[in-house]
Amino acid sequence: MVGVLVVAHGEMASGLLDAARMIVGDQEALLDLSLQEMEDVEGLMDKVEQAISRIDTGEGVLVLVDLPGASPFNASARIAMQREGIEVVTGVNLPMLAELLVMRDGSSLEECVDIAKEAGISGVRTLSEILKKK
Amino acid sequence: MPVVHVRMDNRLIHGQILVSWNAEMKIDHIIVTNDKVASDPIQVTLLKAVAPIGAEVSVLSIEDCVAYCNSPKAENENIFIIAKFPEDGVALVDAGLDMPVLNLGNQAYVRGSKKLSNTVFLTEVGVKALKSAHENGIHITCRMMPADSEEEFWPKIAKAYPDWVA
Repeated sequence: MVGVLVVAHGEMASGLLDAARMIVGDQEALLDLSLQEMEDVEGLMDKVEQAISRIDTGEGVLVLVDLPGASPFNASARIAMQREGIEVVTGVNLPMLAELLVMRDGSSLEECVDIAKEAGISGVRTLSEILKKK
Repeated sequence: MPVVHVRMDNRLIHGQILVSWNAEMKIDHIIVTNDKVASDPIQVTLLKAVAPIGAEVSVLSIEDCVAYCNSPKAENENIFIIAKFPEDGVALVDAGLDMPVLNLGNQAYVRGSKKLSNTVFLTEVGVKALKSAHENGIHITCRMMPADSEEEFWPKIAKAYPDWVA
């Protein structure tokens, strides 16, 4: 199973995991990491590497981060650029995480990237669009 | 004036800069400057890839950064410089960059640094560099966000690190 790591500012990552657990139940190979205010990118890179090695079963790890270009992204991207089997998707939200968690069993890392991106984008809707659709 | 802001931030380009500072200033060009970063191909590739819409990103050594900012190419740009460490920011001014203000942004903990606030940890090298800049009449601020105070920050540094300032 592809491992999933969520890295974000403040308490967002642990909050998202907590919310996802309410929707899809307890999960294995899933971890969160918070960027603390006092932390540098190199320190965060060490924590990302440790987290990846805890959840990598050999099928790869998908790292979901909040803002493209921000420190959680920068730390994760620098690791993914130097190591096989790691992919990064930005803009993490609950639709993305929940869909990924229910679909990842039996999916390759590349398929998980597509599932996450698609679900993250299609999870952003307006009420008027949703009402018109029926 | 081509260079609109010099921020000393060891997280380099990150969320606060892409979102808050980019909204506040019309940044055309972000120059990240530190000799080690400029010679690391992975960091250079990544920093250029995350450029905000409408802005260019360069990653230059201290010497190349000053040369660029003093060249005619820079004249019509709003340049936002991110120096990795305080000593990098001070080195820019020492090498001839015309900039009366240096702003301390995030200085996350590194080995040998001591805490000044939740977001600023300074090393002895950094404090000594800032001291020389202060003595040369440079105004030092400590603003994480554009709305933070522009007051002179040197007295707080001097008070926090008496052994290193002596």
